[in-house]
Amino acid sequence: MDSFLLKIVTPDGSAVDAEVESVLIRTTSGDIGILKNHINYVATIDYGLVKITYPDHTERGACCMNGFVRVDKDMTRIIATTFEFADQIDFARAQKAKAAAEERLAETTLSDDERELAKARLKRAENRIRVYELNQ
Amino acid sequence: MKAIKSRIKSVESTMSITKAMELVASSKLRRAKMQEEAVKPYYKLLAETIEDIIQTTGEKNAFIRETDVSSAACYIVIAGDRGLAGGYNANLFRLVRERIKEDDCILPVGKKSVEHYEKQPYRILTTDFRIAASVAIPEAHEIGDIICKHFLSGQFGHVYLVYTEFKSMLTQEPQLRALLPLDKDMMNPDASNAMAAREKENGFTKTEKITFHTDTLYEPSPEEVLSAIIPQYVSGMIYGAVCEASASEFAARRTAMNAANKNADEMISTLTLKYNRARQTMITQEITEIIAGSNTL
Repeated sequence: MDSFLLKIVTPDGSAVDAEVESVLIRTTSGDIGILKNHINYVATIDYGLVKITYPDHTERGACCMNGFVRVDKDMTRIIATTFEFADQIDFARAQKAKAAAEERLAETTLSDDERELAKARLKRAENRIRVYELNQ
Repeated sequence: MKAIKSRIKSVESTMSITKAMELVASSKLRRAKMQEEAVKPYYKLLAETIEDIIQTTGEKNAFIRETDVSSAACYIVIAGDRGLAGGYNANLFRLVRERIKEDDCILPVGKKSVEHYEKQPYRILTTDFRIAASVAIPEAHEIGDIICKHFLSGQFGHVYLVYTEFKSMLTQEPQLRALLPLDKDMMNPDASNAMAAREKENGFTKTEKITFHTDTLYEPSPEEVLSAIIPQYVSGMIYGAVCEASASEFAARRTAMNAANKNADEMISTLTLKYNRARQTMITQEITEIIAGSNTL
């Protein structure tokens, strides 16, 4: 199968810059798979997972949060706040973060802002855990 | 004589501290610069996509308002956590003081900034970001979320980022940059030049040519994509500013410590001269006394 250029950009710099065969992305409106010669396309990602298939048919799962995917003629770009391959996820830390966020949400004295922050943290941790477990 | 000697000692020990601080600042500076370089392509791409959507769909959004809305402003003031960096913090606060109006509010980032604005009469959004060094990507997003939420609720009509721009190793300049609302010019189809000029002003030039894709598919909808991307752009810009500010802080501290070292060197040499003179005078006096004594015998 033909391959295309995939670039993944995060605030920490470029995470992926490689030729790939396909990429599967969970966007806010559902899972989409991108192959070569896809139509120009933009979709948002909130708490998603990404699966990249390289030309040698190796697959790599990753967790990707807060961003969007943009398909142009010559390349596909994913711009995300965080992008971590499943094998780079610090599972213990994610579990700890989940427990801490749950504890925080159990408090009754939280302001709306604080509650939202804690909820977002919980979601991030849960997403990491899910991606990690899926790729075990 | 003893006083001079102890003075020399104390200057020497201060100098060893300033020397160490200089070295630490240089190495941290390198790291901060690298981080800043890494974040640039991120918000550049975000800005490009936002522009693309606006240009191709003519989408209107709450974040894009006419620029002549006059209402309160919010200043995100990014200062350092520590002093001993020359005029780094003071210059920044001066810039804000010149601009700020009574009903404006402030979101301070960094210990010095929080401490400074706690004593001032302005409204503070949050003091959660007390330590600038710990502001990483998630924290930048928290700041971005807070700003976007308050902006949309109409609490203020303008958001400015105040931070220190890294011009070179030797010069850092306090900067005030409008963050929201997004420039009205972006709505104008002929404004790609204005955009390019703004990009240039933002410290980078576009390497890729601007191409607008009219046949792009947006999911769920251009409007929703836009409302999702803009807060990310805001957070990206904030994170970029924090990185640049910390690079500037270390550069400023390095320069300040370098000056302190030079000063200490100079002081030690004048003090040593003084000490030697005093010693010489004493010896001369002793000799004169001995000779005078032996003459009377």
